Amino acid sequence: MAYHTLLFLLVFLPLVLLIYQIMPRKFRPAVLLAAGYAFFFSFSRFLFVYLIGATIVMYAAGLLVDRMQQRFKEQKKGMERAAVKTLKKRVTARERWVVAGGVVLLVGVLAVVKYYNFFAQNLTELLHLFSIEGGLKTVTFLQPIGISFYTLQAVSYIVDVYEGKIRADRNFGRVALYMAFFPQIMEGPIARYEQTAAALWQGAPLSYRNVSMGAQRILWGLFKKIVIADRLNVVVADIFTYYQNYDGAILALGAVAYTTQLYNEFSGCMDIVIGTAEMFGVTLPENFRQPFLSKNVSEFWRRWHVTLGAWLKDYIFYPVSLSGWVKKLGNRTKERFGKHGAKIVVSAAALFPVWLINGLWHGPQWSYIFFGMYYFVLIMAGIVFEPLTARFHERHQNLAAHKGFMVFQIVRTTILVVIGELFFRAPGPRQGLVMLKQILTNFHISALFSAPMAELGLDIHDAVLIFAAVAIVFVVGLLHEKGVHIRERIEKFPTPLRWCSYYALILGNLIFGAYGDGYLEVDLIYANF
Amino acid sequence: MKRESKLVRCFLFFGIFAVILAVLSVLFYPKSNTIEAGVPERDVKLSGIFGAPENSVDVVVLGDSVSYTSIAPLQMWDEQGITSYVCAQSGQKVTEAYYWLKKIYEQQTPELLVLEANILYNYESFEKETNAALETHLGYYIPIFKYHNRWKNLNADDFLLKFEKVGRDFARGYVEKTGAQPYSGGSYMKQGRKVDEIDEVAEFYLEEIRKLCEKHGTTLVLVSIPSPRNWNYARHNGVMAYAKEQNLNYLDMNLHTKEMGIDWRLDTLDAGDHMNEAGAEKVTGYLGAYLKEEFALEDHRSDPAYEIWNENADDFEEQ
Repeated sequence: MAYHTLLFLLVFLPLVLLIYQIMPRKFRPAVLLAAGYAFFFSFSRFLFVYLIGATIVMYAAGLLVDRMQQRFKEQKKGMERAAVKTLKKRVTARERWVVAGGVVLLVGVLAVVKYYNFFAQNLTELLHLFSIEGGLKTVTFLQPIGISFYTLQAVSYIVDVYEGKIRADRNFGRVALYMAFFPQIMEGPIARYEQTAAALWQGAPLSYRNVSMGAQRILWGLFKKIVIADRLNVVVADIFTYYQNYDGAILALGAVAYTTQLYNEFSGCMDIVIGTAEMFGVTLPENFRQPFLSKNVSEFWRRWHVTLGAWLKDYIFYPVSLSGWVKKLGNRTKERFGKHGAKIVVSAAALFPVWLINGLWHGPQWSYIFFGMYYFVLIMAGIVFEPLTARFHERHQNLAAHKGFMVFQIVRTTILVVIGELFFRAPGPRQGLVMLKQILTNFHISALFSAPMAELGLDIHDAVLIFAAVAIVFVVGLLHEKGVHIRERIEKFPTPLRWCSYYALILGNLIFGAYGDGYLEVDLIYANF
Repeated sequence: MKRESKLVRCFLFFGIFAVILAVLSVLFYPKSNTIEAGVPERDVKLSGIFGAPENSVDVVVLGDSVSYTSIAPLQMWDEQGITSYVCAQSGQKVTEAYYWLKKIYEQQTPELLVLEANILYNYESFEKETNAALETHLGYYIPIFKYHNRWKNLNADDFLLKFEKVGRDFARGYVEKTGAQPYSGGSYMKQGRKVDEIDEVAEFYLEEIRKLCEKHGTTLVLVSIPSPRNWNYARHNGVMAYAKEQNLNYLDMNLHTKEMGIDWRLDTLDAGDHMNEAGAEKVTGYLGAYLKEEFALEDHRSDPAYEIWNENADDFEEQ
């Protein structure tokens, strides 16, 4: 039951809203929890034990760590400083064992169900390269949808308890609801415990404002998903499947179309998810902040899939860059190669695992690893050439503020992102390189107007609609960037105008959506990651 | 705002929306049954039945491509004097079959409804089937859901509401397929106890179809057309279990291929998925004889009111 389906929007969600509202306040969190499990069960069947298992692990690990921390606080009272230090060391070591145990269990399950076969296949192939028979046999594992999202939530909870950012929660229901809030299960956003748990458990009554604001956001997300992304699906699938048959210009169009599809699909789904949560009075963290207005790729990743980037920063980048061996490495490099050299080495040591995990998180495929490494190289290049760019900006001090230069930076970043998405969508890195080579060496703009274009599955009406819809999304993005809150404004419109806006939103989806006869239902892309 | 006032506003909002949907539904509804007029390609042949004179069809067939490539109503007329119409579509789901039947009953009251059982196994997942059912349901009651894509070709006729008379399909839903790709997989109907049960959504709508038939005095007959690629004994058992439970007739022609004279080297279009012209002739002959004999259907061949059938059957034979 994906979030854009009629079953979710017209049956499941209204039913949950209704039951939630008629229930006494104290039972409302239970309604949300039951809805979450029912939702998860609807597409994962018995695999929902994975979710329960992960919840039990994080709950138990959190409590254990918290108990150790509290006992330490009690024990240290009246102790000498040196003794406190020794005790602290011992307690921290024990806490680390618990954290490591919890994280290994959580990530271990994810690693086995999602990555074991990839590892086994590659190991076997590697052994064959050296003429060694054997290797590991592949095993069919059923992978619950959303495991990549809820596992990260569970890990962040345990680590946050360990770091003292939050206290472990004794209320199992609240922990379970944090993990199983139904709008978040399939595609995130990856929330932290302190961001959502309390609001979810509050059971606040529905309000007209929350419901109408949430509904507006859902309709906007639906527009991005079914009007733009799903309409582009047929073109993208065709170009990426039969890439050998196409001119470089059409392949470039395919890469742009895929980037457009992915953005509108994922951010559209996030709008539906966040809008749904808003109806219940829960504010979920944003996952997108106009990524195509970024001036460099680092900024892009602070605006695209924000919660994944933030998670990787907090739980991979910082722990690695602040670890003892990286500090030592930094100090040694500084002595030999100076400050900039140390920055390069420390950044490389900390960013490599970040981008490797970022790539792998999307799935056990070399193309995803390549995708991660692509950004690693781009960001490292930015760090390596930092002195040069600094010197350039010193010489041309007014350039950075010049609008034309900003547009250039945005276009440059967009091109780099589109190339990245080409590798992301290509069947493999080799095929991605073939496509890129074709774009660079065999690009004829006339191909866009030749016969194969018409065979891609879009007619002129579709093309015009896509351009218009993308333009609307772009303008709305610009307004958001400038701090204009369109939904707030619509809410303040006089009733006739406000209702007309609602009707326009609903009918826009109803009429221009790519669903029903002639269209294949397009599953949520990120739900499979 | 007072509670009453809120309720009134709520009713008003949805009331206006309902009116908008009704108006748009009339506007978007195709004004004739052609692809150019906006009828989805897979509905065109089927919708020809709405061009047939009222209460002139004895047998309606619902099913997927296996049906429309295998049953030739004009041959059946020629051999048995039965008027039939194949209301099949590629990949038809039971939900769709149910809503088409509802619509067909607005003009026809067939004596028999032949439901080709392959559609009972056109299943992806519970969620997808339920969602598809919901979409079909909305499309039936609020046509703009089904015909929304017509924004691409709305014209003056649509705005002037110029509805044309629905054209009858010459072949009555049958699609003749020439060419042969042999099936060489051998026996595919090995008797066994394994049961491939009909899924919940399909069974729910099959029940609805049965009840609808009962209400209109139509006899529901379940039929399976020979198709090694789609059929097996477990599915036979699944359909048979339902037929027994509801006391329905079930003819599985997959068990009678020898009797029918099916030659899998020559009679299949695509290696055992669909029948070709030669296979269709055998299927139609066998099915027609079975229906006539089992349900004592009236022979209309000498009835002047059905003269058009005689004319069309002659043309069909010549073709």
